[in-house]
Amino acid sequence: MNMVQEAVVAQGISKLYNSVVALDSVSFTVRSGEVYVFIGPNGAGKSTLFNIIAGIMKPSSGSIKVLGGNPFDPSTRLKTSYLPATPPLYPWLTVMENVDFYASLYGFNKKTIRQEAKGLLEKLGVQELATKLSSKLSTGQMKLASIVLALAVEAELLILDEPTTALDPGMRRSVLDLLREKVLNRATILMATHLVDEAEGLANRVAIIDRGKLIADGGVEELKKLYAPPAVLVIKPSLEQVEKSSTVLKLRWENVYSYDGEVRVHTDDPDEDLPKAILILAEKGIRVLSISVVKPTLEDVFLKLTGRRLKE
Amino acid sequence: MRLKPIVSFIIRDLKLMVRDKTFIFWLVAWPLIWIFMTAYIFVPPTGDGTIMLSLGIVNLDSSKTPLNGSSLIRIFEEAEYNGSKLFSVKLYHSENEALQALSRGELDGVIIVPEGFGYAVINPVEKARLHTYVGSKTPQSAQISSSIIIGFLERFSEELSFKRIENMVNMIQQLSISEDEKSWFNATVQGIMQPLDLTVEHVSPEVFEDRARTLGWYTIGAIGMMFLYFGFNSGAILIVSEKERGTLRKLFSTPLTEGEFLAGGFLSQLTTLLISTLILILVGVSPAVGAHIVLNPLNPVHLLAVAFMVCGALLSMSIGALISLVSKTVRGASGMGTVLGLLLSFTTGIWFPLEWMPQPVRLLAVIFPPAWSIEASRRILVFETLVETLILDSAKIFSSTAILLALALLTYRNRIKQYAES
Repeated sequence: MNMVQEAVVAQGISKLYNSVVALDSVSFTVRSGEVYVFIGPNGAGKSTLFNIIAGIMKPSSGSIKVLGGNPFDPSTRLKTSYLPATPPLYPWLTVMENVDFYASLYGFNKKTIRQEAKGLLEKLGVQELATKLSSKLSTGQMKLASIVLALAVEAELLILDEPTTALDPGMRRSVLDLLREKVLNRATILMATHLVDEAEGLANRVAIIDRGKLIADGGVEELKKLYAPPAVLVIKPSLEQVEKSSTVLKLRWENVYSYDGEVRVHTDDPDEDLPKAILILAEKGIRVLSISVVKPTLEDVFLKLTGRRLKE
Repeated sequence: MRLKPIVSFIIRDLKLMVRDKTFIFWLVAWPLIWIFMTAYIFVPPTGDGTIMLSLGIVNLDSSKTPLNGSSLIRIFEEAEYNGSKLFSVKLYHSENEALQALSRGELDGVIIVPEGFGYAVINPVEKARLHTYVGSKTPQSAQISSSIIIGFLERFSEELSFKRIENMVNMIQQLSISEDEKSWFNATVQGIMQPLDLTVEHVSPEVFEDRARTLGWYTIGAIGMMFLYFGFNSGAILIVSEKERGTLRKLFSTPLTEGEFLAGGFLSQLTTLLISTLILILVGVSPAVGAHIVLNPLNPVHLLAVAFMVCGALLSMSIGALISLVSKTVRGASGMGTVLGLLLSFTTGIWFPLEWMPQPVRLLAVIFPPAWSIEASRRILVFETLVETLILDSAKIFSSTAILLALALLTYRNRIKQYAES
């Protein structure tokens, strides 16, 4: 495989839908053989960006190079494989027939691709899906089938938009293992997700995108070091006192966030701040069910940078 | 342009044709229903097309003459056309009773034979009265009932006139006038009664008298109807169905080019339509239907008919592409395509004969290219028309196909760009 040093080079990519800005001067570089993960909430512009990288949509301005070529050139697309967020399956075809159809669009040998797809289904433990009509699949099975469609093609660059959405934790792990295997085979992976643990477990580098803007990119630890605090206090008050706890703690600390029934306090000195927090809450008569000190995640990075959650 | 992706589109859509019951219904079952209805209901195998009318007669005549109410009833009962009875006669006791049956749609007409009818017939100075009501059992047969009953009675009246002249001439012959004067008188009276020596003969083209050719006409009509609604439908949803299914972006993320996609889409629909056409022709010419369709693949004229069929399919799909400009969803495009297709197949001489249409509606067929291609195919395959008579039609059909196809491709390119960018 003749690989170029940089798999994707995007410079000042902007995309406007009428007057709505979907992407605002996005620039980044993805090196060959790395897993580059975009994290951002729904509507951040990830899918638009992926459509441009996959050669489906033209940017309003800026330039993009994929595997050293123009993504709108079929010869470039021959080396990429794109998995859209919606499973692109024809309901009247079986999973294997869908694989055959897409393989034929690449001009690849049907037998080889079938073999590859069969192997992937076996690795995922769902070989029985091969002969099942796509219309008979559950949402999760459809997602698995589309992952097989995307991975069966021996592509240099995999563009995967939310590949694990709708999968149960066990299946997610199997899919992530498959992706790791692909990286070992020197494929470059460009992935979009809003699941931080997935990004942290797989990414060499992460790009944080919000409201069409790329606000930070780098290694996971690098981003945490730059934007996250050394530790996070996770306080779990009784459910009806979450908002009150958050308000009280905000009087003392700058970065306090409440969601999913807990309050997260970004702290530089957990040893000092933990007893203080307990004391403040006790003074206000707030009953704390549990309190712990944890390491920050990419979600905390995102919170720090945007003040919002990824899942908003 | 690569062949492999195009073939893949054809295989993909053939699998849809076989596996989707809706497709099978619209492509094969629906046109077959029409063909069989034509073969067994509209043009039944045993009938010769003669219509038998239900006639109610109220006989109030008690005359003891050779031609009275009772003998008139026998005349109606025995009246035949081409060996088939013309009337099914039912007797009623009163005018009121008969008219009620007519109002209920049980009869096509009622004749009241008044008292004294028989005497009036033989009295040369009196007019024999017959009161006639014309109705119909179905809206379609109203005009036919009226024509047959009135026509029959006019003919009957004419026969009576001649009988009276004959009697009068016999009486004159007993007068003491010269033979020349008798002869002149005879001729004059006959001339007054029948000033026009009109002879009317109905000469139908041989082809229309043949049931098999009529069925051939309708079989090609069913194919045309299927071309219209299915072609409009598939043309209208070609792009939007990929978009709604979520496959359009995946397709264009592969090395597939726009040209390959459009060629694949068009050829797969065309293949589906032509396979369905073949099935309909085979069923049409089978003994179960018995349509007269001559299709010899070695005959170049017949191949021209195949080319017309292909043009008909392409024209319908191209018009479908234009429908996609106004309908942005699969549901909307599909509904609009089906309704328009059926409507136009009924009004442009594809399914119903153009002669049944009011004059302004017939103009549609003049400006509607798919109707030209179906009619030209019909003329070759059913009526075995000489190829020389099709030169102008060929030019019209091929050029309109090229123009509409070009417009369709432009529309699709625009649609693909729009959907990919949205």
